[in-house]
Amino acid sequence: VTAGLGEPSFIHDPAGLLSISLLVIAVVVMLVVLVTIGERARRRRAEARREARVEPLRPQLMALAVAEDDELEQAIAPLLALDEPTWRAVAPSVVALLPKLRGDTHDCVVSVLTRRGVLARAERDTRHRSALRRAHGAHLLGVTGVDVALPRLLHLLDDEDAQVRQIAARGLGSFADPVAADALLGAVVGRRGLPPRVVADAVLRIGAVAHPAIVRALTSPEPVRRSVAADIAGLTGAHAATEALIQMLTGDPVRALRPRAARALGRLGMPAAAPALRQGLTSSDPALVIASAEGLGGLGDPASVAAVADVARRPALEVARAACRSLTEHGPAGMAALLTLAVQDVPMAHETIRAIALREGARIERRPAPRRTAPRPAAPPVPAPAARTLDLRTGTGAP
Amino acid sequence: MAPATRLVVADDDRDIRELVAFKLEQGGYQVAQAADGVEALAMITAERPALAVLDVMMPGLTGLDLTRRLRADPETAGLPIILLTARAQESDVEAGFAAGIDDYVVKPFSPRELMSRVQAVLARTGT
Repeated sequence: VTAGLGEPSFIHDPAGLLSISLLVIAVVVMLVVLVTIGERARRRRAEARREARVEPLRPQLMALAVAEDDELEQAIAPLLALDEPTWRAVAPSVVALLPKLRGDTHDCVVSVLTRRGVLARAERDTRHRSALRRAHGAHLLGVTGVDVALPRLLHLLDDEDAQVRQIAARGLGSFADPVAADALLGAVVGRRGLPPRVVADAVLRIGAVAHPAIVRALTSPEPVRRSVAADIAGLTGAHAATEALIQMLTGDPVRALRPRAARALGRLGMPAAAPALRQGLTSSDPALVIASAEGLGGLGDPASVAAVADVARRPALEVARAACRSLTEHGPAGMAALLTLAVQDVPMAHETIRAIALREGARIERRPAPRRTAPRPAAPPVPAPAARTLDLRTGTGAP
Repeated sequence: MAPATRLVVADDDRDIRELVAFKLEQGGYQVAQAADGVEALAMITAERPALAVLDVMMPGLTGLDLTRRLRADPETAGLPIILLTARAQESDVEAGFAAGIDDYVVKPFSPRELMSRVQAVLARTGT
């Protein structure tokens, strides 16, 4: 392998150099794969050992998680008495219980973690240089939902690491606190802005306490904040947001946000929104017409049936389909209008009726036969058929 | 002494399953546990429990699918069912009632509240 002054011969041989390079890369890849497999196996063994250590203590964990009033101290005592190595093995299982519990039992588990110093360590971790440690600390503080953790999590919403910010946001969802809701809705904008979905999930978990913050966010100068607030307002039943949503529907400078307001109003179901939604049906923006039709369906207001039926006659298929679906949610008046449209051979009315027939047919097929002990009462007289009837299976008119 | 009322709890999360079972056993019920929908269906068919507590999201057969199957079978159509649903899945509650559940409990849950609901459903359905 040497030539002349002792240089390896492959240095002058491109093919040989390539072969050696490929060999080195293959060896490195193989080593990485082996190390990864070895590390995973080591972690699995460590987890299995931990679980084996925890297994005898599971009845105590369960007793802790279901303890009531006078049983609390009795349930906590065995976990406080554990030696440190055993507690370290059990601690992840105790933490894992927290997101699954609420009420007294949740507080009971938090009490154990506090008294074993876990929360103090988590709080320290949130200031650590390592993003992994900060994320771990944020997760622990978040699942506890204790008031003292709130300021740290609010601070972490502006952490330099995106993962830490998201974990802090999820954690804030455990706090029934308007301050947490305001901070979350404010955190969707800026250089370190959180993904809207993460914020929406967290605010949804906060629930009704977040309603004032949602109403404020609906009038924010930031479109993304208004957008998230509109979505959440409908999902959390924030009725106090009705007026702000109507303003957004009728005049938001960002036109793309208006359909979101229409859908949110439909979910809220407040009758006061009906005039604005009917106005939305007259828009030149098909997305807003569709959303307004859907919104009116959520309200189910009989006074809107005629306006929605007019939209169902439009040639744009998606618009007409949304209007026909909306009619099905308008009660008997809406269904009558839909049948009339079908008789007039409006194509989307046929499609909607066919869909209803198929769905109802499937439901009837699934329904078990009732166990009758008494003879079935006589059926009421069948009214004479109308001049033109509809076949509910095909949705077509029959003379 | 009267035999304990038999119940079935189905959830793929071991913590939840054991928590629910532990609490209900404290209340004097005899509880069988299933880790997925298919196992729960077999268990319910074989053991004829007085009530089933079913998670919505389970591998194999979801709680909603399982409810529909049970309601479609004349032998199990009358079984009282309580659905366990995550807060983010509250839309599942509507689908659950359409499928035929009797009540639901939202996770995270209070074991005490769950026990009250089980007792109320059993009293209401007379099982």
